[in-house]
Amino acid sequence: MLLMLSQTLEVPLNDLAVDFMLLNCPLWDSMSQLVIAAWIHQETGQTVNMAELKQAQTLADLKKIYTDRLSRKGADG
Amino acid sequence: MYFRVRAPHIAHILAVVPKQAEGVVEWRKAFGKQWDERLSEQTGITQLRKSRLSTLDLGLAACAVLYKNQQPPQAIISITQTPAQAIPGNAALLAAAMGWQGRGIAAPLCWDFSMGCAGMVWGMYQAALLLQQTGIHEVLLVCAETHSRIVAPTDRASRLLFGDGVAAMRLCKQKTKENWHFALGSEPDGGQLLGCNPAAHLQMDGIGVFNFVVKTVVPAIEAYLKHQKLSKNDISCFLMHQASGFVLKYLQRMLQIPADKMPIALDGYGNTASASIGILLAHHFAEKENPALKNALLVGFGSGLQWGILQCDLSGTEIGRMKYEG
Repeated sequence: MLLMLSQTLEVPLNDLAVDFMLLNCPLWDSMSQLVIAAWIHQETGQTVNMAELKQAQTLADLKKIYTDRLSRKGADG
Repeated sequence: MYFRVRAPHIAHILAVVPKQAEGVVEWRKAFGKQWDERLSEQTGITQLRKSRLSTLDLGLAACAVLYKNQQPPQAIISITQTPAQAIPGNAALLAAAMGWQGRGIAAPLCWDFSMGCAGMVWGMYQAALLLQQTGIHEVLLVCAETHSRIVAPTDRASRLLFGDGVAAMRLCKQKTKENWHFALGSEPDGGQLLGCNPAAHLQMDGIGVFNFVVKTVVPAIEAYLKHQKLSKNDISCFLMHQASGFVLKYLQRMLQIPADKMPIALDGYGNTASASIGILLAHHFAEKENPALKNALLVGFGSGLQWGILQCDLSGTEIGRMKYEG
């Protein structure tokens, strides 16, 4: 996930700590959010909606969404 | 839902787009610091068509070619979400402008549908139904959109995506026992993901539309092929609605379709809604001998939310060279 975020948001990997503020990132916009939504779908088979991503403020919030989808993938078998 | 109807012959398809275009140069100027190259990389569009021409103007330009040496059709189906005027619809305006009324000519039946990106496939279904009637030998289907009129100039996501254009086709009754099999579907509760009030600008939830594609359109395509006892290898060409480069590439990966079987024609045109499949055909197959269109799969999907799928033979269809108007 970090590699994808680093490439999408054009942020060095080392800067992507859990408290990384998405709102301070110039490339955190609808376009990068679409890329992230697609990546989560590719990895988990689950979708994410726009409101969820817009509410995410930090990297930890994004990880939480991803982990949630991973657990649903597990539950789906 | 699946529908079966006697297959007409698609005699001629023609696409018309405005000469006037806008692209990276104009967008850079308009969006200043908000512009970056990722936008065009994601959409697959560095230029699209927009002009002051109405959907009626574009439709008439297509008809001038399609009906240069042809008798008028018995019915016209117009598909557009951006009609030239509210009342009457484009079909009647087009018939009148073509002189297909009065002067001893029986006026064609005029049908108007407010439909978006699935509109061409749905329009083909309506045309095929009409052609089952006695007295209807030819139907003209005109799919036209001028989204540039309803896109907010300040809306980066929409302005860089939607273009203007028209695709028109002549569908003729033929003596055959072959049928067309359609899969048509709607998800009205998702309608607000891509919509517009009369006095407002087009609003799009890109992630919502993406989710619709992966959750509904992809399974619908797979279910259609299974229902028709077809494999992906049986399909000679996947003619997808030209939504955006990002969505199409994802869809291609999900369905594992070889790139050479899924042509794309976004750059230079943009997403032209119901006209996009016709523009795609004109861009890649115009005047081509033996095009790989014997078993073409047409897939329209988008606003509504709606989708439509049809496997058909376009190998005997005259596909005209793209016409630039204005």
